[in-house]
Amino acid sequence: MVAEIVLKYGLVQGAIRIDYDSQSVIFLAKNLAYHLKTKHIDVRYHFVRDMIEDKKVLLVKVETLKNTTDALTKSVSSEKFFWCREIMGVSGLEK
Amino acid sequence: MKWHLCKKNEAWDLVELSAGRKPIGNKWVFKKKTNAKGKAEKYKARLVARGYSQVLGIDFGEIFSPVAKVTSIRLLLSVDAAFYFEVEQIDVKTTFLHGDLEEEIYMKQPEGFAVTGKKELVCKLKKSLYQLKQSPRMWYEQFDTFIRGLGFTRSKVDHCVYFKLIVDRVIYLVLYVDDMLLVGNDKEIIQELNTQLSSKFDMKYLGAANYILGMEIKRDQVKRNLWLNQRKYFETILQRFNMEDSKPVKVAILVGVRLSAEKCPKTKEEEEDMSRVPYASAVDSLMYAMVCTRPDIAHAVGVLSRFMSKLGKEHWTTVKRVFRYFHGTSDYGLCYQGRPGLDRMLDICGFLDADWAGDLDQRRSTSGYVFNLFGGAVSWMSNK
Repeated sequence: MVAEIVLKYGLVQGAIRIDYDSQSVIFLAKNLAYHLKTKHIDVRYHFVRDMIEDKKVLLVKVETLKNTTDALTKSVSSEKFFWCREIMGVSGLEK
Repeated sequence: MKWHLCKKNEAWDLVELSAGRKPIGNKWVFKKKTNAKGKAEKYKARLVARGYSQVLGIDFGEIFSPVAKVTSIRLLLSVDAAFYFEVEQIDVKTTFLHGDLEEEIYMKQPEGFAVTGKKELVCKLKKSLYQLKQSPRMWYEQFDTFIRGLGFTRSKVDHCVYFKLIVDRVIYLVLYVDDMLLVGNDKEIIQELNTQLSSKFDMKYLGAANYILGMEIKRDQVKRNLWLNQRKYFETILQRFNMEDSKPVKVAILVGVRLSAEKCPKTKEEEEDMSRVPYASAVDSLMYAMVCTRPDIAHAVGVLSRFMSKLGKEHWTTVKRVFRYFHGTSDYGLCYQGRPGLDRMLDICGFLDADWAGDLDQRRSTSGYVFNLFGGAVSWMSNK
């Protein structure tokens, strides 16, 4: 739907930036030549590679400490939890 | 009263029952409607059909009907915060009475309103009635045809989102059964659409949107932000589970807490004890909050919902902890903030993560993502 809004309204949109903290995944997604060990990747994941080739998606390495999604996959320390919450925009009104 | 509306919309004809058919029953339902502050707004009486007695293939066929995703609503609201769009809300009165029926359905005459002298006749329904199995679908189809007739395009991603572009003016419409959000950058075309819709359906114009799906929308035009929260909902669920006097905590799940099937009850007594706990409905209440405005508890809810059928004491304690967390942060919601200088720029930023086989029982990984737009999350997932 984002793409539809963008197209119809003439908004400028750069590549969608996706931050991930695993470098090996990022290399795999970017480099198609890696074929021996990665032969059995499900077809649907090649969609990601296509998107990256077309520069619609930008995969960026982010420090594990700064990965917001950590709060969605494991129990994290309170400082990290507060930090993640803030990045996700969850806050009280007074802020 | 819906009675005169039934008549106004010509919901049925009085006919003799055709051979071999059974009329379905009906019932009056009385309801109190509350507003955002919890005060009674109006009282209504509604005639509903006993849809459970409908027979597949005779009384109904297709019954699927789409509803808007909450993500679409959040997305449009965030765009609207950043670009000074107008958001208005319209409610359709007696929604389902607008849908035309495809099947032949016979219903007994409504209680207390049978036409004298014609008591043996039955109503042959023309319009879909509340609680008929196909009502939502019929309403959706009716609306879909009408709105597309007005030149709107249906979004390919969410079939309940429509949009239209007139030169540089744009208008979006989100349909959530009978609630509609109109989002646009021009007040005039919103008004125009409102008039067109009112001429076809019986509508209630609610003005600037401030309350949808239990979420309160607060806008600050000067600071250019939009704050989406569920304060009232939190109050309600804290009360329902007797947690309104609990001690608030700052974090939903502590570091190192790993729930697993090992914490499940071992003896019969323990199992007995836990069977009296409203675990499933508590988790359900949390889940609604998570889906609407609270990505911060997505992990907690995901973990907790794995133990629906074999919960132990520790799982229940964790549920209560999440409630205590809510108690401390009940006024928290999603805040979208437009940034000056980025007037025509969408800055979408996503994060991904997976924990490496964090589930102690099956050794499966949990993966999650968050997509941010204008400083607030619009789409998120935490999935094992």
